[in-house]
Parts: sequence; structure tokens; C-alpha cells
Amino acid sequence: MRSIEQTGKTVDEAIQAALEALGVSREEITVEVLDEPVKGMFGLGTKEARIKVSTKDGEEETFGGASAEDHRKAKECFEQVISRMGLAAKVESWDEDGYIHLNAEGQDMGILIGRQGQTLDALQFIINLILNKNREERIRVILDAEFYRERRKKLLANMAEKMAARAIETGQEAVLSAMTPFERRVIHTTLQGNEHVITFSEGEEPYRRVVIQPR
Amino acid sequence: MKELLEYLIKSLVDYPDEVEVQPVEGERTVIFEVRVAPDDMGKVIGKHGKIANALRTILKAAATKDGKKVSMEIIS
Repeated sequence: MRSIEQTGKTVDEAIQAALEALGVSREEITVEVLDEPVKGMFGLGTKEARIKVSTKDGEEETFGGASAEDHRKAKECFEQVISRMGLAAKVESWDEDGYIHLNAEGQDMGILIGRQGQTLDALQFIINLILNKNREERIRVILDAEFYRERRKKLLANMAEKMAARAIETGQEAVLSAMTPFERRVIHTTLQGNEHVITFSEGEEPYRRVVIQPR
Repeated sequence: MKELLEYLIKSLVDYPDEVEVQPVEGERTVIFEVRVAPDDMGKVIGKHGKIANALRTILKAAATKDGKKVSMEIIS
């Protein structure tokens, strides 16, 4: 079980931010409201909602049960898709935090990645469905190509720190550009330990964006 | 591209033998008409069309080299 504390303007906003930070869906968590938000007047006496979010027991054990056979299957599925897309690549697989990581190296990997990693996200979604078909214990696969996700993660974490520093300095909230759920998650997790700012997302997909707000 | 779509859809559904993918070629476009068993419709469409949209994204990526416009329709 993992649990985090999260603040937000409303309880709903705090829940959304926590879901993104943990990378889970609403059904997978329990929410405990620590402080109800107080509206206040003219910015006085305003208090944010504070909640504690925990992943439900057992959720984590169902992941991470990936066997060598699962790894082989995942790798084969990714390879089959790549070759049917008319691409040639070498796929490597390894285990990290109970996730099966697959990384492809080859020519024209930009096609596999897509704009803002969209194609990679779509492939990851479909391959996870395929591998979990008729299976009780879920396995989770992370797809990558030329370590795009790794590089992007570092870049985003850096940017998050910079924008947070600016928000604290100017006292004004920073609204980031629209990002995919994976990218927003990186921002939320990077700034989770930063006690000078809170983060939440606003807007509808695919234009959903993270806001960094000084406390 | 037909092979790619067939592979993905057959891997997703419960009745792979009933999967049919038919390309309808236009001058600059290809529309893939997909037929699956009635019980499998949900498995290729998904909540709010999420699966169908992911398949379209993958299909579009695969078509970048050909320079053709591709789309996919699920026929019921």
C-alpha cells in the first residue's frame, strides 16, 4: 500500500492531483479528507483541502508478478507490432519496480514515438490490454523507444523545478502547457515533496495542463 | 498495414476467427473496415472509444512512410 498527502483548492482537485501523482485510477484508491477547504473572504482565511490517499490493499501485489514467460511474451508482442509497422528495431526488456520495461532501438524510431509520445502511449495501452487478456493477476508494461520516456522525464523534472522556483519567487501561479497523463504525472511527483508549492491539473484531455501554485 | 491491424485486433478479441479487416482504397486515403463478433465490439471500441482511438493513432503512425491518409471504421 502506498499513501500520499495532497492539497488542492477543492477535495476533487486534490483527488485528481493525487491520482496523477500515483498513476492509478479512482477505483484503486481510498480517500481520507484531513481538512475541508475553507473559502474565506478577500483571500483571507482561505484554507486548502487536504486529503490522504492510499492505494487499496493488495493492488500492488497483483502487479509485479511478472514471470520470465511474461517478459518473453511482452517482448514478442512489441516486436511483432514493430515489424508489422514496417520498422526494424531491437527490443530489450528488464524488470523495474515490478513493471516490465521494453525499449526499442533502431531506425525511424520517431514513428514509434509520435508527437509528444502519443504513438508510444497508444501502443502501450493496447499491448497492456493484449497481455492482460484473460489473466487474473495484472502485469504492467512500459514501452519506450530510444529511451524517449527516460529523457523526457529528466527534461520535465528539470522544467518543473524551474517553474516552481519562478512561482515561489513571483508569488504567481505557473500554468504549464498541455501534456499527456504520463507527463503530468512526472510534474506532480517531482514537486510532491516541495512544501512551497501545490500542483493540480485543469482542463479537459487532450488540453489538460498542470498548474503550479505557490502556497 | 492490414496485417498490423489484424494482428492487434485478433490479439484483443475473444473470437479472433471472426475478425475481418477490409481496406477500402481511395486515391489518397485508405479506410479499414473492421468487423468483429458482436460480443467483441466492446473489446475493440473501449470506454469512450479509447481502444478504437488508440488503434487509429497506431495506424496513422504506420502510414507516415506511405504518405497516405488512413482511418478505421468498426462496422456493426
